Amino acid sequence: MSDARAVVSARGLVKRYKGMCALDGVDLEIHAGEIVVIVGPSGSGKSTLIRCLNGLETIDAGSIRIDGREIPSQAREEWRLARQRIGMVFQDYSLFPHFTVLRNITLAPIRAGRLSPEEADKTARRLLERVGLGGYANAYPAELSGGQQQRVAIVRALAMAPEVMLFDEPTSALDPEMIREVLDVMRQLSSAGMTMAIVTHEMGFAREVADRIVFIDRGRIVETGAPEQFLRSPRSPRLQEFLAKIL
Amino acid sequence: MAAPGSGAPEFAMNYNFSFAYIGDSLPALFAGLVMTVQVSLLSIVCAAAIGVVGASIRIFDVPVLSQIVRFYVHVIRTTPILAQLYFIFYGLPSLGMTLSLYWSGVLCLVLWGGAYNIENVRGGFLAVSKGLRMAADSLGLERAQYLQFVALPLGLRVSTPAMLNTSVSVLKNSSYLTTIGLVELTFVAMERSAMDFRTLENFASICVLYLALVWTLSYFVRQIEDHLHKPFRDGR
Ligand SMILES: Nc1ncnc2c1ncn2[C@@H]1O[C@H](COP(=O)(O)OP(=O)(O)OP(=O)(O)O)[C@@H](O)[C@H]1O
Ligand SMILES: [Mg+2]
Repeated sequence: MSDARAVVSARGLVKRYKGMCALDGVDLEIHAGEIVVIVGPSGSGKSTLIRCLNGLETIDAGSIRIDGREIPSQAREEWRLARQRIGMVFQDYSLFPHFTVLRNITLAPIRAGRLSPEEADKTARRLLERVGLGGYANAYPAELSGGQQQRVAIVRALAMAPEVMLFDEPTSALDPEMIREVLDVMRQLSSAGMTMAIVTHEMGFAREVADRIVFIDRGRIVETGAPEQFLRSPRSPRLQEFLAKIL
Repeated sequence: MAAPGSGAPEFAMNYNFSFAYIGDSLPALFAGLVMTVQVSLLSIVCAAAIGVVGASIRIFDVPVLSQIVRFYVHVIRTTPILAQLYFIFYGLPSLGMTLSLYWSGVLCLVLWGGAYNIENVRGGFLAVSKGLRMAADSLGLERAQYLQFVALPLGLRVSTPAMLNTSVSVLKNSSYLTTIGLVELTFVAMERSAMDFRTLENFASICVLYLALVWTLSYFVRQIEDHLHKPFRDGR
């Protein structure tokens, strides 16, 4: 099985909300160094899928493997430890509003015993510098623009030195200029070889960085392919329709 | 004003309010005040702790415990405090659990305030956005760490006004402890009124003292509130 090389893999994933099927048998593998972009209409299950991949949702059927090891939904502690190796970035940034930028970033690595407070501090400042926020260590989230907050959120995830990063529409709450700042940071990660799963509507960006694009509709993966082929010659009518709408 | 001897009710307009009497009462009142403060403060602190623990159990939906907490809150909120007090003081001994006057009183106030605080704190926890909980989870923080670093500092900001209300009620409810014979402020006033018939002086005095206590309590809670709000530079 190719599972051995997959950092994250889902098999036959089913997730229901009160009888409504949000995910209906999804298979997905994300290999080391690979960038998978996930697209699909609103309500198709993209966020649900991303949340299932790091155990934030309990699943109703199927399995999820992290580094080839299956972790059942009930294994809460095992999932918690797995999440320390899986970075996640949310659409609304979700920074802790009562902490400074620095404390937002250093909290988890210090509490997980990954880094000493001094190391965490140094790591955070170095990463902030890299995303162009060197001067903002002591600012509070509310004092930053959306794009700046999202870059901090990316740094917060990176500070745990994750093996894989999951992004759920990281730029869809942002103004166009800010979208660029955030995408630039994600491009940096891509050239550094980071493994990523990205839900986004930025098709230009997807074409540029993705190794594979996955189209999900009504809880099922309808089509998947390399960007060029995926965008230029979509096979399924639903994907053709979707692309016509967003391009 | 009714003429004397006419048989009409006599209004006490000629009552002469004696400040000297209050002066004489001060030592006794002070002893009562100390007891009221002691019982109330201990109860308020313990009730706040119960609020935090109970609300945490509820939001993490800890099996079994969560149901017990719900039941407890429900029972306290739907029965009169006097019935609860008598249950503890007169009822529990029959079940082989005898508590002193003092501890019966404290237990009653703690259980009462705790139940209300559980709802207060839970309201605060629920006001912390789901997104932050998910962010904490995604970083691999433990539940206890989420509580300590996120839910408590953010949730308590929201719930302090309600908790202050409950604490003031605990303070005022301490006067029910008179009925089991605890020598606190109200008890002193009742006893001295019965002896000296200076009802007005006695109850006016304790009302002023209760008022002063409530003001003091509110003042300290406001200090705590200001402290909690400090990191929010941007008025959020
Ligand atoms: N917590 C929840 N409770 C109930 N239903 C939910 C919940 N989360 C998602 N759903 C439902 O599951 C389906 C998939 O939702 P999901 O958020 O995964 O879609 P999405 O593809 O991310 O959409 P969008 O592009 O709008 O973010 C939707 O029909 C949604 O209403
Ligand atoms: Mg979504």
